[in-house]
Amino acid sequence: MAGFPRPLQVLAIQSCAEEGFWDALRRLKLDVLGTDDSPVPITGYYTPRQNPKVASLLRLCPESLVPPSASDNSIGSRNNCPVPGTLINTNNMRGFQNLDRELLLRAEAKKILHDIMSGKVEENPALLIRFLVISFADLKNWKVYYNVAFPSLVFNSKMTLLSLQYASQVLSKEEAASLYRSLQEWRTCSETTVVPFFLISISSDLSVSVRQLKDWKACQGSCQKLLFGFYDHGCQVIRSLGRGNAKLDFPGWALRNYIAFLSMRWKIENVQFFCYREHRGQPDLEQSYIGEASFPPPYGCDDPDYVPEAIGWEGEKPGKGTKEMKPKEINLQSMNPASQDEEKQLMHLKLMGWRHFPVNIDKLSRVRVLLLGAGALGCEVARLLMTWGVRKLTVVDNGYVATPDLIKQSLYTDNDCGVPRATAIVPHLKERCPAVEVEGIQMEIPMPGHPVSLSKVATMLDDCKRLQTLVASSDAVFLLIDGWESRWLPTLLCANENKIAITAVLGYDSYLVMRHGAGLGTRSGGMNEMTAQIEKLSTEDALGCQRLGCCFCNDTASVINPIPNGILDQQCAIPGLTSIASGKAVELFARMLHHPDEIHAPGDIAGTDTEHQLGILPHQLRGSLPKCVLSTELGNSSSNCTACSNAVLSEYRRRGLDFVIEAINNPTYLKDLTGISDLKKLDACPKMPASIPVNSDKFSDVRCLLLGAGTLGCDVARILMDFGVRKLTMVDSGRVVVSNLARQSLYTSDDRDTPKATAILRHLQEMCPSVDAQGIQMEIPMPGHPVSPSEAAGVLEDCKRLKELIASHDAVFLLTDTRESRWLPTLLCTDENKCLFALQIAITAALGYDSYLVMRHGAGPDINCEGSDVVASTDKLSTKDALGRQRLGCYFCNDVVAPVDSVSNRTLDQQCTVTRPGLASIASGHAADLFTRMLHHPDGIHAPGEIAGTNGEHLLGLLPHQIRGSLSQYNLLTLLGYSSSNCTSCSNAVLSEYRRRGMDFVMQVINEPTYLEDLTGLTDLMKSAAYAQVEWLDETDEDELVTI
Amino acid sequence: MCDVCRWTYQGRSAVCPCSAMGVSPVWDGTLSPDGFNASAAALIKRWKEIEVDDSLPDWTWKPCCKLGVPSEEEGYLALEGVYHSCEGSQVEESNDFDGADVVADDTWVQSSSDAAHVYDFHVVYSYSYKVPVLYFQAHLAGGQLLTLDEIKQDLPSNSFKVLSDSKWTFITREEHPHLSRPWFTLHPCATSDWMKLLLEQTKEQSLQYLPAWLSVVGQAVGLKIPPELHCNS
Repeated sequence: MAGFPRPLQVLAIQSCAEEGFWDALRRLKLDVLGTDDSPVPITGYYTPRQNPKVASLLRLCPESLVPPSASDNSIGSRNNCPVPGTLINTNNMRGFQNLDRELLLRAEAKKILHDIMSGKVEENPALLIRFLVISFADLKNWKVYYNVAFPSLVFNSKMTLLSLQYASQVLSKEEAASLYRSLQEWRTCSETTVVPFFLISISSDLSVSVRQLKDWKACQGSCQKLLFGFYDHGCQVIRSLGRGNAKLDFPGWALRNYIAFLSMRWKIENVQFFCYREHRGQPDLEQSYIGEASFPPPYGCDDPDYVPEAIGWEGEKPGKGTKEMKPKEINLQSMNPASQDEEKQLMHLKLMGWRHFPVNIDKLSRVRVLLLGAGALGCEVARLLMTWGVRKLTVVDNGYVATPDLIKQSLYTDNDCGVPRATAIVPHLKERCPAVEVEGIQMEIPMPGHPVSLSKVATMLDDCKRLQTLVASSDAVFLLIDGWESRWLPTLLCANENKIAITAVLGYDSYLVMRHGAGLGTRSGGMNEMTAQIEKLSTEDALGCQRLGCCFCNDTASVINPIPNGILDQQCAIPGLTSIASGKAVELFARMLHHPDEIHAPGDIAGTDTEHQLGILPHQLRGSLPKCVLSTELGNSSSNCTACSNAVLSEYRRRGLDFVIEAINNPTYLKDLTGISDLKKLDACPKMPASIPVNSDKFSDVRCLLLGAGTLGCDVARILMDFGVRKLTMVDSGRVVVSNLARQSLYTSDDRDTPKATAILRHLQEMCPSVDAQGIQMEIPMPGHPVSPSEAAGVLEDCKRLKELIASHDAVFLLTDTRESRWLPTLLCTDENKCLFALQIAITAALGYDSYLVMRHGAGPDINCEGSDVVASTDKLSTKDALGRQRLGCYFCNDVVAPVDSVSNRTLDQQCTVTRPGLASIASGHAADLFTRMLHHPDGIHAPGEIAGTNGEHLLGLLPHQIRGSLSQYNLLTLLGYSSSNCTSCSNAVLSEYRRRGMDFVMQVINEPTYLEDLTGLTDLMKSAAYAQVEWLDETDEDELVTI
Repeated sequence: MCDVCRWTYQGRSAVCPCSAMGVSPVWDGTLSPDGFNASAAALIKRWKEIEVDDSLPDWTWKPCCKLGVPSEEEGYLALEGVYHSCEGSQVEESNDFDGADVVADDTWVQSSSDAAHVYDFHVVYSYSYKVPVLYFQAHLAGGQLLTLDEIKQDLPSNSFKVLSDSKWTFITREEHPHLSRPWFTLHPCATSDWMKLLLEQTKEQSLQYLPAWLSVVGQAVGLKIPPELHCNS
């Protein structure tokens, strides 16, 4: 080692960020921080060297994230001296990479300088070893990328080491013994042991005392010699030289800032320092250094705006100018045990709170929901309720699973045939969410006007009582039973008990979803008061608002036995309707639960403003698929209602079950009671169309290609099968993970880690053995995601495979979750002139995360020439299709930016594509419906786009180009857009280039992010737009869409 | 003389330790919660007195926190920051990387010990088995946890033998009862049986329990327990 004086060299400190720290950060991020990425104060734990061979580390542990004010010294201990630090956790990889590390380091260094100059360090010396952590916690993939810095000030004057010797060599025996005792004392006192910087005063009588920095003034003069001690983390390092190894020892990192402090604050130019190290918990004077360093006070630092130079990024090679720094990477997969499955299933709900509104997960998990009916609606609603985090379900049903129902009733499989639905549904819900408590009860719901024989009266009475207790013990009731009359008793009970009740009714192609109004005030106390209260029953609820109606209020007819006139038969509803209606019903429920007035909330009408975060809370929703309309209605409780009117309720309260039995046995009783005289039949009961214009052959022959087997993929596949489609091909590259189970309707916990393409196949076959399905595990090549030469062959292979797949199928559904992955399929479909449906759920600032877009792409351009004459034909590409109509637009037609890598700068909630539960069901329902209508349209893909309100001549109804809907505002729009000449995937420029160059062109697009924009002239368009500042620049936001 | 633990009055305490432990007349190899606490305190004290390997830090008592308040009685023993073969790693690392890359113009030296394996051992009392249970985890100095396979490579060959020969020591991953994070653990199901064999002849079973237990369990996980720990007090 070189002689003295020499430049001071110190040993850098390293960090140890325990897995528990990252776990705590994960929770904090999910539960508290959300998208907020501003700096967080944290605490690191420092300790003097313990082991002669190992330098100690600065520890980051779960307690590091506890706000320092809450716990002061209580969390510090002997070997855990709290040190203040700052954590900057970015929302995405790009943000992490873009952080200006140099600037951040200097900003932290400036804080240290400020603390030195202001004297704060004297009070809290740990400020000298302040540190900085920058990270990106990729919670979706359980990985963290991070860097740690320990800023050390660098000035225009240098620190010089004048001497360095072991304490045992410098001190006399008496001094050493006295120092040893004083240090032991310092380290045993809980107040001082956490203070890493201290003074050692050696008086003339060789007695040594250890004191706090703030006592410096008092120490002066009273002692002969003053040493500045600090906890030294370092140890000997072994350095390989030419011929052998040399043991080198350096003072620890903390010394540099310590000297800076002593020189600048106390003007001590020559510092006598003491590097304190321990061995097995005792002072190790054999290896603790005493040394001297000189540091002339730097100049120019007094300016308050002065930002000092600094060094200190961990892992950076010292002294090589600005440098590349590799992020440290930590894999948290091992902390991801099965016991946290429940937490992962709720993650999407927590993520909703990041941008939209805080979901009351607690309330949802506590609420007990009673589902009456476990058929098609029952299955969907039960599943969606679990997605919302509802964990207590009771299912009542009287039916059995039958083979023809399997396709419609999404939860059952082949093995369940013949089993009561109430029994069969339980394991299927559990395998999607193990934490759910579900009880299945097989029971008939008594119906008014259906007289029972005397022998059965006892059973029926039991059923009534049972239903009474069930309703009383539940918080919300869903009425999903087929028969209209069977809704009467539950409606009455709910009105009486003041429970949330939601009804979903399906017609052939229309549906009604409504919530029942609150009951009559609150019923209190014992029987004596009851009679008195009945007199006071009013048309107002407990909040004094007009009561909302129930599903019987709008009917002037009594509920009496309408069976001969045709019951509401779910069997004849259009497939997809179930998904849409149950999505809306569950949404209504969740919204009601989050409304401050809950059941008493007044009914909103679409188009009105609401302050409620979840959007409007209507009373009734009516929708029709063929007309593509959705309306919200409001109806107050009717005084003649057979289920919730005062007359009925007071009679029920007075006579109890006797009243119920009379209503059941005496068909005219309810009518007489409520004063309905005329016997008009139910109008709400939809009539079956005279002829069902469904061509089942067409369905069974059509070959559908589904790109993406996630939430949308599962739902669309199911509904298509329900329509009779039997040839399905699914493409997906992912595997099933726990958090998928709640949302992706087909997967169960047995599928964990199986490729989705394989898993979905099994489930589709379980539901319908005759389906001819294929699953292909493949990544869809994406533009703007450059590939390395080694991967290029594989990507090219994928492109070709996709081309073959598209060529061999009749219809393609785009159900992937990134915008750019839709580009290649769109191009190929336009080229092949295939039906293409893009389906997506939009999450943008403008639209919220609760709207969806379903569109069919337009036909490809008209070609009159033979394929051999490609060059000639490309010149003739026109904006008209084969039928001479203007081409409809594709997914990319409205965009002014080419698809590029949109993944790396997304925040976690965007990556996980957080949407409202139920949205996917609704969107899938509309997509499948659009598909069938197009299939039956005489012009097929060339059919012109229609707008709601115009008269569609087609039997099946309106065939729009795009359907856009918003869940929170309950609106549904039909839009029409023509193919744009600047479109990046269906314009003639792109198409002709593709036809000319084939896969070479595709590869160039994938590798060059700006190529598409240049080709289509978007670059120029953008430039002119930038000058003109056109409004529609905002609109592009809308199309930066993210899907499930 | 006590029939159960063969304790004889030697002028120290008038109470036989097995009755002090509150065990039934035929000792079943279990330990009471109080016995665990007493034995743990004795172990911490004894560990400080004897000569142990340099790489081993001190055992500490960690009180369990309930609602942020440390519990008076309930807690666990911890031996944290045990470096696996730290002697070698530092040299190798320094060779490979910029271990002690002294740069003239600026003045810091980095020693890279990221590859060193650090072990944490916790001894937690199991109320259901009434025996101590060993929980452990290992991480790289930087924080990344090691997998069981990586840990197995650190274990001396005889621990493999212990692990494979005996049915009672298999490593599983379970939630740490006080940290709610998964740690590796040696399953406690047979602990009382072999502890009974081990300590049947011993006086002061309660105080000797943890040292004797550690000497066996330590082997399975490569933790060097000096024989002096349980020879005499």
